[in-house]
Amino acid sequence: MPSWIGSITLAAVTVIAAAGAQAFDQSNYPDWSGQWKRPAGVGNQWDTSKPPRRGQQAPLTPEYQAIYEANLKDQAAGGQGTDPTYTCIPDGMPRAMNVIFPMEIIIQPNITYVTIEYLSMLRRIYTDGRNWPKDAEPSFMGYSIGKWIDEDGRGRYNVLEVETRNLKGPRAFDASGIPLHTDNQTVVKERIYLDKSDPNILHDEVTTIDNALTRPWTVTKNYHRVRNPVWVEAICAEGNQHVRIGKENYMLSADGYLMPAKKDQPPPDLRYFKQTGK
Amino acid sequence: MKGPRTYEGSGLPLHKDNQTIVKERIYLDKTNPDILYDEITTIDHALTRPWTVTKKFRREHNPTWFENDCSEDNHHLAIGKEHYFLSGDGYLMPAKKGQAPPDLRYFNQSKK
Repeated sequence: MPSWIGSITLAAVTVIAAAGAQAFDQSNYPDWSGQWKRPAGVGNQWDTSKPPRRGQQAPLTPEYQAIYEANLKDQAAGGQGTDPTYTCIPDGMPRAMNVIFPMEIIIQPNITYVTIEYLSMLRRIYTDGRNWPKDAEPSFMGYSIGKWIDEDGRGRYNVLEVETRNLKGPRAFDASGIPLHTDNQTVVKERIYLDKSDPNILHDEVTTIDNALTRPWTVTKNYHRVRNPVWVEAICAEGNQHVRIGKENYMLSADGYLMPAKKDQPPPDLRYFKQTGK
Repeated sequence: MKGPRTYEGSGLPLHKDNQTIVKERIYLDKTNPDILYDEITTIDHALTRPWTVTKKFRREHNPTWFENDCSEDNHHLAIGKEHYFLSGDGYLMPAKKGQAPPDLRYFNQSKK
């Protein structure tokens, strides 16, 4: 082999090694530090540009519209309908991006973390170019792969495009119980970027592809930044007054007794107890 | 901090006055960068002196992360000051031998 080939090879290896050893340059990435909150006066419905519940005009299939209507009737009667989070299971995706309580985004070289105070949710968005895993365990938050984009061509990334798959359920879009399909084949695509005129506003264009929908559903979530935040721990399981026994949900009274959640709801079956309480 | 808190599943208690201070020194092993140490000193009024233990963790370079949601399918249930269990077939059951069922005073009818 000619000696110049060996020299070129050595030089190439040296460049690659140097690139790998290069420190993470934060200046290549946007400043998404701080605390992100829902803007004041914005509700926690999925599409915040529309009224809640039926006002959302969710593009549900006839089957899932019927499920949603039955859910609204159950919620009006004191039940939880198709909103599963009263037992403190995570919202999952895409609902987590309602950001009921504040969010923090931590950008690292190969991964971006999104932590959401509500229900202690954590998202890992892998940006290392990996492929989708073959056998990953489904989860409420799903598996997210992201790609940084320099849309402006200014030599600095400004958009994070994310796709999330591998979800499990049950999940709903928001507290009104807009349901996602029980087959959990949801795919969530996002474009996350700062507002061009106000760097303290973050946009997340969220497109949900799900078999409960007649078409992909895109909404834009907006968050505003708090630079010197106060973080308040929000632990759903602490003081949770909701109780689920079998398929029924009940409440705990303020004085510590089990109580019905709906009018005339019968008490739970106590077949496993030797004696009956009053 | 707030409570209640314990050190571990055996229920080793911390004081209910929640005046706990926890001091840590976290560092890599000098000879093996895949071992991380956390020297934890707990100062608490349930203790006669500061209690120092060293936790050791090993690094996994290609991790698989499993979502672990305690609230999902949790069979423990607290009603008032009593702890009960949910059976595999979805019924309320006692957690202790001879435990009385919960008081159902707020229900209109009683079940067997």
